Amino acid sequence: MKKVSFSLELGAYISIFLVLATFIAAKALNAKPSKEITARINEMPLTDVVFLEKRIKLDSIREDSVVNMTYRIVNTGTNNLKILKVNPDCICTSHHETEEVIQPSDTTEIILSFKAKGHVGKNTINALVALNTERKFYKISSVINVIP
Amino acid sequence: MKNNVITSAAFVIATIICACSCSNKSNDTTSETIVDLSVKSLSLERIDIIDSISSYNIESGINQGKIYILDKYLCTLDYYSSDGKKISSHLGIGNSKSETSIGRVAGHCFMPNGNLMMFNTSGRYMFYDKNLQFIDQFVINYNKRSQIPQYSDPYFYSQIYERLVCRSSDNNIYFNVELAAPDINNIVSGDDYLDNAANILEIDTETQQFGRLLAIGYPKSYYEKASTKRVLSTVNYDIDTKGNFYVMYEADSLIYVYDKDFNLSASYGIAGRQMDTNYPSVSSIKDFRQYYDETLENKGYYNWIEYDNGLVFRSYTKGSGSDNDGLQIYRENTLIADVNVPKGLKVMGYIAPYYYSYIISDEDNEKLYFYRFKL
Repeated sequence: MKKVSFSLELGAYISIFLVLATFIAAKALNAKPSKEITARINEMPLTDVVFLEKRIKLDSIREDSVVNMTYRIVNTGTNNLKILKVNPDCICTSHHETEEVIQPSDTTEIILSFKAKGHVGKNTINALVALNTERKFYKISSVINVIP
Repeated sequence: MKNNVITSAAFVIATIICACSCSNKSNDTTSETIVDLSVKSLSLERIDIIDSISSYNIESGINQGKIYILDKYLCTLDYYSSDGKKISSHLGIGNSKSETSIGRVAGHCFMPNGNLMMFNTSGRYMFYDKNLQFIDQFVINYNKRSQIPQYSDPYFYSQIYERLVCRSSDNNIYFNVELAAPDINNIVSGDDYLDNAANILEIDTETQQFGRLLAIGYPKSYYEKASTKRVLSTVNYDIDTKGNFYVMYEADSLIYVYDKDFNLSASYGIAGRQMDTNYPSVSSIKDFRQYYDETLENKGYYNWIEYDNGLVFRSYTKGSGSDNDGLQIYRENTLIADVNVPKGLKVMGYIAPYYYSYIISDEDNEKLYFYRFKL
């Protein structure tokens, strides 16, 4: 039987990667909205929305970049809109959204941030968004190709 | 008479070619594949799903004679008619018995008794009855895990979420798995991994513990240019109602049939047509990351197997240079069809009088659709 030999440095690198990959995958798939979300939505007057962006594609992002993806949501209903939860995959560095209510006809934004370092290749980021609409939950996503 | 002679000669030649050209996992069984292409083409009908609310991260299947879509983010399970119209909607995020608190669904299967099993990547397995009401859940206790990673220790294996195959038989559920420990994995361990790594893991839902490790080792073809097959290193499989396993490896042309006790009973198969098998060499984790998407999106490999009532449907991709994928249909060891199909088509099952494909998700265009055909 042949055994491929690798340097200690590479072995350590692989170890770190595998641990991180497992961790990221686990966190990404298991983040879940708090238990109160559906109850809170059910207690609120419902409105309607239109997402001006649901899926954003970014090509050739350099590895030293931090990119922000902006998703605009228009309140097309007759009641105030409230963003109750934004729950992104763990690969997403941070997210930002207003805590204020959005008046009918107004537009609001959700911003997802992604630090490209260590993510060379194609990355898909999904986030679950909870709103006081009949549908309750929406998914927004980004596909980001990071180059060295 | 003349036609019969020609047909017979062609049959003999095809059989010889197949016997010579196919790789063989074990010396215990002889690979003999008969080619009798009685199905020359399929008349496919595309059906768009109507009224769907979807995250486009989905799994699908047939249960109780109906098509369903399980949404992995919205956690809904919706049934559809055979012409794509929604019949009913179930589950969803929440904490009542008719909802689910699973978070995000990593995979699912229906058990032989009709119950639904869903799991997440934390190893939480949740069960719902035939009416999709919550009945039970468990988390596997990892206290029995050995100190040092070993090929024989199921606790060191992890499910391959991006190309997950989840099946059930009796009280057991099965997953395709890989061993990705720092010191034992498909990149650093070379032939040792090909000799010893298991590819399917059993979970006994009664004991709520890991069961057998199955599909141990790789076909001989994986030892040739081994570094080029490291991305395409998992198996697809299906299980018939008698508990027989139909197993295929992504970069190997054969189908391996095992009985309930996982004794190899047959192997057969013909390589797909016009497959781009010029896979890049992977010698490091950096290579793996660089070539992972490129290989899966642009190369030719076997990507699904489905058993249905005596027929084995095996799907393969041809690669980015082709406008279509391939579908082979076997009746036992006889190849009866090898036809071009639209990209992404994998056979899901049969609802008379049609065979149906799994639901294809096109998130860019916010479409869900499937194909159906008659044989």
